[in-house]
Amino acid sequence: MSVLHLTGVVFQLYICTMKNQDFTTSLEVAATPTETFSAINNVRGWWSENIDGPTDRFSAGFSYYYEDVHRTRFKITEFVPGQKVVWHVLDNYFKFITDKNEWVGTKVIFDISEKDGRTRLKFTHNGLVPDYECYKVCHDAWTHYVQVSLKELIEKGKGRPTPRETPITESGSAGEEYPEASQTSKEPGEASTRAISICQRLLIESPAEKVYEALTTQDGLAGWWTPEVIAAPETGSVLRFSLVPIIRRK
Amino acid sequence: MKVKELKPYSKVKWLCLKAQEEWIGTTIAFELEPHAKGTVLFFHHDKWKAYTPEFAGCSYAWALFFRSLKLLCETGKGKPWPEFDK
Repeated sequence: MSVLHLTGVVFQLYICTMKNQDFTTSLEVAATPTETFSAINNVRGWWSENIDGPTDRFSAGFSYYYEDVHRTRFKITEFVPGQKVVWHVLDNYFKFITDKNEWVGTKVIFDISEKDGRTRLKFTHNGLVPDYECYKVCHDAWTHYVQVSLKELIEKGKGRPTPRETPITESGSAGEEYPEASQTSKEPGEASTRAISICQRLLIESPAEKVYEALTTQDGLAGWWTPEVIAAPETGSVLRFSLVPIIRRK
Repeated sequence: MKVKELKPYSKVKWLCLKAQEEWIGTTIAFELEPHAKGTVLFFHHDKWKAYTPEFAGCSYAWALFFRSLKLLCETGKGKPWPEFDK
């Protein structure tokens, strides 16, 4: 067997492995292929509101960003109404990984099919493989955005995208921070009355979406803190929990 | 606790309105930061007025509760009160 031949075999095996390991997730939706197609193209409605550029036409380019953690730039390279959308990753940056090339050159593919009056959506991130440093995070995040947020956008008309980021430095949006901060340092001379803090920092091997849910929903809080809790994931709502038994009872 | 701020997948902030004396007026913040292996949680419970036994006890209790939160998120089952210190 020639070296060339062997190389060919290895290459084929490589291609084969790559294909089988690409991240993919599928779902059935209660909507038509046309409705599904238009929901996918409303990227701000299910993935993130932090997107610049048009996302709903062939050959369009758009950018996604999440704080200073993730930035990526796509070009829409396939756009077949009711059937298929492909985004090609032109540039990418992840703050938390060392291999800065991850995602670059990969493709995000949405395949829509119809069978017996049911619409099926197959999401594939071609090139996103388990060897990637970012794989676990991406796997869990895509699963959430596709299986929960995109599905809800398709079926109920409203997804759960990451909301628009508001710069913290603007006095308007961060107004609430200042009164509190000034309370703390109201009497600069009185060092003894200066507020003090409890801090904890830990790694949780689970996606941020899941941890966030555990911190905001009643079921989530009951699962790690106390079953005696009443909470709703809404700003301004009042969260009640039984404090005395937790802290005092032993 | 009043839910003061909710920033999906990155920040949760509460203000304590009514509780035992030392907690009133304190704020509790949970900040989430993506990490290659999951999420880093940075927690701070601010504006305590003094280093009291209550403050010290709470510090320990929070650590135990975060072990429970970690267990819940990673295995699907946490150790909420009253099991949190077992």
